[in-house]
Amino acid sequence: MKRHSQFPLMSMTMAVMIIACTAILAVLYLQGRQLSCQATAQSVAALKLQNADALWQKATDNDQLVTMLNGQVKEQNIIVTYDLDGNVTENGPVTMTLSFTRNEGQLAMMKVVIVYQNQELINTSISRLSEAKP
Amino acid sequence: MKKDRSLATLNLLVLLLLICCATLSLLTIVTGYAQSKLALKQTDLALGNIECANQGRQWVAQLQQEAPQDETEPVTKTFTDSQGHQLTVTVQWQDKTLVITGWDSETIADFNHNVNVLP
Repeated sequence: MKRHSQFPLMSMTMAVMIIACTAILAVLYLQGRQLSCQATAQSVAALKLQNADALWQKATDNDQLVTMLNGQVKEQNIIVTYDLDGNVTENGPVTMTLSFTRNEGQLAMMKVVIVYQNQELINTSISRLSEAKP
Repeated sequence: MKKDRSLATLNLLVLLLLICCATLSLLTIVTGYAQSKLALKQTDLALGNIECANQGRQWVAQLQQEAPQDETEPVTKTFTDSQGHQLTVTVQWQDKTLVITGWDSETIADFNHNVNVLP
């Protein structure tokens, strides 16, 4: 009789515990997934920065660079968006913006900003030896 | 009694399920953290390479502005970024043209110097 009266309480306690544990685990799992996605975006950003540097050294002008990067020109900036696999897409979460900034001596400088979901991953400038043709 | 046993079995099953979920969550967090560390290293390396390359190109551009020479001995200069990565650039004047004869970054793999291949 005593044990029988404890069943509803035990079930209730268990249910609360299960819900609490599930909520904590769900938060932990989602945090892990977010961390993983952010890390992937960071890797993509590092690779794309090196790629942009290499292509800019080869490109004869910015139009050719746009073609090489498969990007778009918006307000004198070159914008390329990537998915987390590093493929160029229309609405990817990783956005690379290249803007021709200045000639520093004989050097042309290109500012590169890579953003993942409004979070800046990379902000740097790359130079090139050959004459700049913006 | 039967209800009691079935409740205990259910509790055990739920507990096992929770342990599985906890393991999965822990693995996801640990993997994400490791990936994050690796990605930041990769970014540091890429930014270091860019920083060194910028310094190297700046130096070559300065040399190009000097009066052209017919033939000179190779000139080597080493550039270091804030992380300590190094880039060694060698240039030489050949027929009044400045030629880059060496662009060696320590962070780029070089398989020309007897690298032992593990079985």
